[in-house]
Amino acid sequence: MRRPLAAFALAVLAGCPSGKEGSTVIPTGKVVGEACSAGSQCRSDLICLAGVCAAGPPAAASCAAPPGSPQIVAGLEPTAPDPGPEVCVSVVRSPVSFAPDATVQDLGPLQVGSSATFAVTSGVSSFLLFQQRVGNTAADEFATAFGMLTNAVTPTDLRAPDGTLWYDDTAGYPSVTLGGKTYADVSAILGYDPGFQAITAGFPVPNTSRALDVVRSAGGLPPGNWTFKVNDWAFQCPFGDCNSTPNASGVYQVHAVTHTLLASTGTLDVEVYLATDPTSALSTAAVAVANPETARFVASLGTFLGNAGLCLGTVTFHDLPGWARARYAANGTVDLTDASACGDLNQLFTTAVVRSRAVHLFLADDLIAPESVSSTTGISIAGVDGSIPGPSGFPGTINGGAVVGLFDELGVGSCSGGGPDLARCGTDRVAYVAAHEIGHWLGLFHPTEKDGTWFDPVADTDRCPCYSCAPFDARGSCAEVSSKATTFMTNDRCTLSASCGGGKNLMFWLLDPRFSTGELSRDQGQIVRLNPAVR
Amino acid sequence: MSLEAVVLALSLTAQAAPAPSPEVRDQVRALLGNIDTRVPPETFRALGPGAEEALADFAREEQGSPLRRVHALEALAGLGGARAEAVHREVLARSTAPRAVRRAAVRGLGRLAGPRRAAAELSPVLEQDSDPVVRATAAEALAAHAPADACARIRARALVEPAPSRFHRALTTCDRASRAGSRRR
Repeated sequence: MRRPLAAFALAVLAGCPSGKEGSTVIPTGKVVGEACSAGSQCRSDLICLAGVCAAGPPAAASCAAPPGSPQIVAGLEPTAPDPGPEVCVSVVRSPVSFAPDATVQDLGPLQVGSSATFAVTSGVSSFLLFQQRVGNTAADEFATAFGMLTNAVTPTDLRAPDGTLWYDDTAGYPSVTLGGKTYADVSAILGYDPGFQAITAGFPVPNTSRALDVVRSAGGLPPGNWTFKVNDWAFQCPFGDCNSTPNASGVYQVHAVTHTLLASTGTLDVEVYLATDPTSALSTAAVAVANPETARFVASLGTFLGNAGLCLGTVTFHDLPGWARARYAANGTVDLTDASACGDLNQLFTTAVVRSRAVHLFLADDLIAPESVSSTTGISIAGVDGSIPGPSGFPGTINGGAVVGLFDELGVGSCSGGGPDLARCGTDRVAYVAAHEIGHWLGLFHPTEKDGTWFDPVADTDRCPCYSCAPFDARGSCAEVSSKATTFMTNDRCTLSASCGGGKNLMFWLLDPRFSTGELSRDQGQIVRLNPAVR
Repeated sequence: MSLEAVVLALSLTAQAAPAPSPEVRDQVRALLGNIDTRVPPETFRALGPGAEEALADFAREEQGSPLRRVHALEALAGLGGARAEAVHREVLARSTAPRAVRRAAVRGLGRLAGPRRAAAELSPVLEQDSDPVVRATAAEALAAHAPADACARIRARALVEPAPSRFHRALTTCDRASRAGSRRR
């Protein structure tokens, strides 16, 4: 469970020199080396690791000290064949090799509603269930009381070998009261899926603080055969009043990737695809690796990811095939207007076929968003992920990429000093956005969403509820009390205290150089390092 | 009303915008830092009348972050009005502005001008801008907002462009508009 507000206040007091005698608060709880079965038994700055209170897991062999020394290389053009104009690519992709620290189990093509079983051996610390729609078997949409919704893929009835339920897609969330208002608390559940992921989707475990505690305390996931039901929303509608009968037509190719890295560090490689114009600063892979701003970008990216304990390994730049660049990124612009599987963005992602477990990141000169003609749209964005988490180890799927816009920021301002300077260096701002999107790929959510009523499944990221943290005169427009909320949680409002925090975090929804530091919490770092992209 | 009178009226409207308080300017600046979550125009409007002026300032900030300028232009285009149009024209006219910023100005001007005036606003950009990517962006904006008036001109321009493939997206939009028009008839 999340620490109560009183504990936050104590922590703040402990961290701030007050000048008064006797104000130091000594953490209570078991100390390093004492036996434990849950993190709550240990001192607040410790975790329970394999039955013993500890400061953290050991470093990974691949990464002694983040951010490491990333290598920048030009790679081959991906061999994505031209499907022809107006053709929508949606193929089942095969997994890469994850040896030696992760293994893949092919559970076969399975119809929704059928049970699946996979093995978790002793020492496995995480798994990713990955479902890919086979052909056009599943319905694209289903009917609800609110109208037609896009079908989404998610497992359900996920159970550990002892029968413990880890995830039920129709279950409600526990709640937490903050400042007199009640909010969902998804950090307190064992499995979390935000939903709305069409056609292909990964489901990672653990991705909540409660599940992390179970894994760390026992030194791994419960070993044995885990079971779940293959599922999509057209088959099992998760909303109370759906107007459609269950549609059992969906067939999904299902894989389970089990991962054994429970460490305080890890190494991440990044495949970068250039969806840029021939006149761009990063026009080709060869130009990109020779550009000094690329070195700055990679160094700053490494610094931000280092906050998660990651060493940046190899960053490989790739040219896109000419047909893909012309069709999905003409003039260096990726059009985000059509978010469907056949839209430019998702079709662009299907070209990321380099056989690598890495994160697949596209760089474009420019991103176009839908026009701001209604309250559901708005000003364009700096980057976007196809899915949370990304399909690590299944390159080239629908939703299988992240894209970041350069917007002529490379080299803008003063980028000559050491270390990231978000206020003065445009290259560092691009690196920050890229690190944010990579954080999504690796399973992280925004600590607080923009309207301040929804929080990530991580207990040690500070929350920033609108009705508690917005200025008094703006609270009447908070989403807690207004159906047309216009008060959003900005960094300044979320750097006030631990109970109005998160504004410095890399995963905060805004980048504001006056407040953003790119910090990540202990649990955020652990979730990232458990992703099978990390070695 | 003469063209000069219209321009004067527009500039007077632009001058009437109230100055933002430091708090409003701070909030506008913060919201322009959105990463992957959209901010609706209503959010800026709700900050009060000074928000528009703050957006205009950020859009014109020559030494500022190009991405923030792009976002400011888009927010202004979402709010609409003569003031927004004037800022878009001003930014577009600065040939030294970053390409991403000028492209945002072209797109925004297309939206603000709408089907009736987009061709008049953007045809000179399509025909004369020195940056081929900005010309292609103008073609896309024209195809989106004024296909009936502009597609013939876009097709003609594509034929004389050094790299006609830059016009692929605009021509595709024109083709779709033509098909839709045929079906309606």
